[in-house]
Amino acid sequence: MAQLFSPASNTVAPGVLVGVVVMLLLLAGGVWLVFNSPYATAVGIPIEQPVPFSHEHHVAGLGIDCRYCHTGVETAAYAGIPATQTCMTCHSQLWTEARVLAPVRESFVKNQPIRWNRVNNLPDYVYFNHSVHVAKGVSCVSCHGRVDEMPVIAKANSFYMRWCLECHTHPAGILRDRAEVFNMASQNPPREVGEERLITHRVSTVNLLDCSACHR
Amino acid sequence: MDLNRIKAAFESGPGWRCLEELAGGAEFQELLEREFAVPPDATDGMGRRDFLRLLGGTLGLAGLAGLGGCTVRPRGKIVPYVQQPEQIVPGKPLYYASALEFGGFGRGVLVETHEGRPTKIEGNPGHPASLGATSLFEQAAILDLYNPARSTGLLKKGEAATWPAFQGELLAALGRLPPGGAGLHLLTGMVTSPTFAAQWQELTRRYPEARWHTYEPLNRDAEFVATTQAFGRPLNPQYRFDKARVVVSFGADFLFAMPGSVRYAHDLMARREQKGMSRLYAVESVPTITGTFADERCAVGHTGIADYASALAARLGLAAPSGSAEAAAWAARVGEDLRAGGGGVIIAGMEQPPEVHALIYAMNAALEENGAVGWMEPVEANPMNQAQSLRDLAEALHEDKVRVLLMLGGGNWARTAPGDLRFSEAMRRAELSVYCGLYHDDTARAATWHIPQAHALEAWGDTRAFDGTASIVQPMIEPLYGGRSVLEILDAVARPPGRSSGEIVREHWMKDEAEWRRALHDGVVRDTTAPWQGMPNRVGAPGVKETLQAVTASASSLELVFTPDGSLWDGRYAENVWLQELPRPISKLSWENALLISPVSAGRLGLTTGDEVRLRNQSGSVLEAPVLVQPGMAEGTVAIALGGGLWKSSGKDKGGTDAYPFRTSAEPWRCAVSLEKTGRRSEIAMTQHHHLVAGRDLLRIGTLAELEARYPTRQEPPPTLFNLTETMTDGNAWAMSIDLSRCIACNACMMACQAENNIPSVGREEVMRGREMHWIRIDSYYFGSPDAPVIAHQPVPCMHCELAPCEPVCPVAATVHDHGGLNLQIYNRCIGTRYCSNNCPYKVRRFNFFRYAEQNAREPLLLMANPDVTVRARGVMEKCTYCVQRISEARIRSSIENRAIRDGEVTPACAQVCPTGVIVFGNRNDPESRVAKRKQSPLDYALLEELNTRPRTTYLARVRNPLPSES
Repeated sequence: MAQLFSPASNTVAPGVLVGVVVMLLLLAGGVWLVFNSPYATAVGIPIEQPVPFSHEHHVAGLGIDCRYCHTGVETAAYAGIPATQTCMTCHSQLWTEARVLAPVRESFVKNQPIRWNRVNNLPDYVYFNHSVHVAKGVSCVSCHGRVDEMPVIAKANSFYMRWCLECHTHPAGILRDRAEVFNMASQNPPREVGEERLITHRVSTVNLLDCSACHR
Repeated sequence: MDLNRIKAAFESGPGWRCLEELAGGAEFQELLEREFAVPPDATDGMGRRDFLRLLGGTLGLAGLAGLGGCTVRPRGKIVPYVQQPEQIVPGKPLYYASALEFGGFGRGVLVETHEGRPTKIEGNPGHPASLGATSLFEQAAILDLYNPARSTGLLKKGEAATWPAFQGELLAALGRLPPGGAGLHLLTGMVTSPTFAAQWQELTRRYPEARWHTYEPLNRDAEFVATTQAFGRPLNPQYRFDKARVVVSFGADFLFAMPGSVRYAHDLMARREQKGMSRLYAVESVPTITGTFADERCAVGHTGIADYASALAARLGLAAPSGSAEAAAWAARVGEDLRAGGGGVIIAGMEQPPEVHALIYAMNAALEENGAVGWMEPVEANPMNQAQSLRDLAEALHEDKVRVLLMLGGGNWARTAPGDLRFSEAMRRAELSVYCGLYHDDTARAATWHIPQAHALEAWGDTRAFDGTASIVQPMIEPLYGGRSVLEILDAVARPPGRSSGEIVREHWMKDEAEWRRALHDGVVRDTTAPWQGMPNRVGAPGVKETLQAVTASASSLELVFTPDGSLWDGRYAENVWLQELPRPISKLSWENALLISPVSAGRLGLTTGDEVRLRNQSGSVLEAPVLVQPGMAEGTVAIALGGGLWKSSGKDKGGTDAYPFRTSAEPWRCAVSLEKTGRRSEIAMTQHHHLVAGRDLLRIGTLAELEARYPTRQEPPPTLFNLTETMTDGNAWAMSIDLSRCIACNACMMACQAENNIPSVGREEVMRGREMHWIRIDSYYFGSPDAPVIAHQPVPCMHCELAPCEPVCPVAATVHDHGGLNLQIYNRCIGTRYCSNNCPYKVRRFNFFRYAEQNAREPLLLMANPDVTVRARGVMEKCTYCVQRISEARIRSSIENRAIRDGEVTPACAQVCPTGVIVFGNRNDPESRVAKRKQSPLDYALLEELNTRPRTTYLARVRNPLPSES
């Protein structure tokens, strides 16, 4: 009776075993890469809007404060998207004929809201509150990136839970001077300064990692 | 058998929840083991193959959905305002003062709105009928507003029609009336609205012969008749329970069934916490929340109540029969207590005949220096004998004297009128009949025109409270279903073509702008409370003796008593699934009513719970209903709640029996009946035997002396290796104290919890399987023998154990602690093993067996959801969170303001709604906090503390205050 396995089997069998492991690792790596790629997170992908609004122009160019439009950021959970009326405070005087602003004027005249495309999406089950983060010295830039450098707005971070926990585990690293929160160019503090701010800003670190900090 | 020993065992032993428990044996063992109530056939008859086929399909679909669903790519739109409305900040709720009506009487509320959507109703602390609390009905009103069952458009004989067409036809019909307007009839429920009354005045100037009829199925006619006889004009009695040391109730469920009930409950409790604790005696046929709260309760038949009242009257020196031997003995003790001074309230229920009411007026007057009872001019816009008024209308209809019949405000009279009036038949004889109500019910179908009514949160209006205080009713939202307010319809008659409700109300009050704004802001109109008139020294009750003798002589071997439904009232809330599902106080029936009967009578007649019986009254009408054996019922009395069986939607949730056809206008509250078994049995949805924790001493009850003797020292919990002081506080250690001495089992907390926390209703079938979802339940315990038990109630939410048994058994750590000491449920981690629920000794965890979230994710119910609370998906465990959203809100607010959270800043929904202050919540670490102080009381105890779970929720024992016996 002939041999069931040829001598080559001695090479093939370990090869297959190793191959299976490698394939699994590659697959896991692939999945990891996909989920952290802009394909899944949309980080850095500019999202077209009904009006080509440029944060770069309004923030860096004109020096308009974030809070001029995002009025709820210091008092409410939501920063808020400005009403058409807010746009029209200036644009009833400036660029009144501009073609790109036609949807804004139309919205105002017809009393139909502008339907903006969502850029930052909070995952389900999470309750994020802007006001408390701003009050404790977390800058807009920490989550939303340098919007003053974005002609078309794009997401700056993944907003994965892991990403949230980076700061909730080490809050000292990002606490800025309260006066600098809305300053796009401000920088994260050195460690000692951050640690000090934990105390002066009265950050209750004990429950930052509690589930109930964000989930209800 | 040593009877005394059994009696002693009953008295000192733990309470029991259901009769099966007392009987013990295999049946009860099965109930106990059915804790998770896995139904006999969970798949609803689905075979294995069908199941696999479905499973395959589901997996395939899930895979498809997964391709798009596993990313966090932003989708959807953001739609801001065009013009930002003043005061609206997205994410911050606004509160508006308004008032909601219960049986026509206003109760002040604050309505929470999110970007224009009303989501929750709270009591108005500045309103005398509320003082910050509400009843269950105001809590459930938010579902009434969004209810998909509401009627959605004008109908003429069932066909869609328009408002101008209605106006045209109405004007034409009015034009055909004879000059005086004879033949114009108006039918409403109880009306207290000053604007409505003024409109009616205006209308009668134009049509002097128009008639206004009022009819509430649960009316206060006896009071009307009795006061008219005694004083020559109708008056409303006023009660100050905080000024009464002794309260005697003759069938009066004043903690639930009266316009001022919420306030009464508050006042009664204010007097009970003082040193000279007040004492409540109740004589009643059917256990009510007032009766079960009483220190001494006598269960006697309907006519027996008159006997007891007359015995007490005789004892107080009035000319009345001295009653039977038991009644006289009872009256001797109570009379003595009343005479000892300190103020007293003697009160009779609406079911009692006028003679008993006349007698209690005389008794109240006979008590010396009694500041607890007074009088005021009627709050009703048009007080009348309602039963007589409806009878007149029915007669006029049958005689074809009615040309135009306006039925306003939704009373569904075609169903709720006494059967002998044949009202649904009669109303078809009117040339033009108009019915305005929230629902397209039987009356709407029988009427020529049906106009959907605007909900009280959708239109302007006004109302008066039990003490006369007027409130403006503000709309929170445009009518969702194109409803019209009754004011608008009456205006279309009085002043065609009619104005909007806003114009009508504003014009009526005509106050200057500042006064108007103040009234809107405060929720009460200043200086409108009716003046308190003292009790005359002597109130005569002539002829009472003879009529009382006639009343007591009418007793029969078996009498049927009609009662209000604990959730549906007279059936007006029948379309509200929250209220339908809410277990009724004491009986714990859900989705239905049943014929209540005492254990002794049931034993004599060979009946057990679930047996169907046929009742026959003297005129030969027949009523078939299933029986519920209810300990505490009076001997020889059976009772059925009105309002059951009125739910118009058919289908599997249909339950209950409509008792209205069996009710006659001559005997609206009781009638002699004969009873026979039909031989059929039906399953009853009720929760009394759900979540049983049998044989443990869970509810401590007794007089102060008894409690001190039985529980001499506070047990210190056994030691533990966990370092609780470090892990269980972030500066705050959240804790709750539930004072059983204050709980009247009114169910308001259950309703408030459901409204606040987006809790779904599951339906009748699921309730039968023990899968109701209420996060807080109220267990009723019985102590003593089944014939004359002491009944006490215990609200049970999650205990938030520091050493929680649910936590170590969760394989995915979906239930964990935070540093405030809260036992959290993390929905997005939960995979639905239900191990936690199995390991919870308190049975407080609830599981989403079906896709309730999706049912609530559709409009209009989507608009009702509280945006601060997660809507739970299928397959997820949930439970009381201590209202973590409110804690988070306070934590964030205090953190921004760089301060600690103040005591009282966080109030869970259940504590906020409670009229009697049963629940106190706060930071246990702060020795000055109310909750810490309560926990210092020697009456404080934890449920099952021997398990060393260290619950954060603890109880104060129920203190009773019966009259010490002579011996």
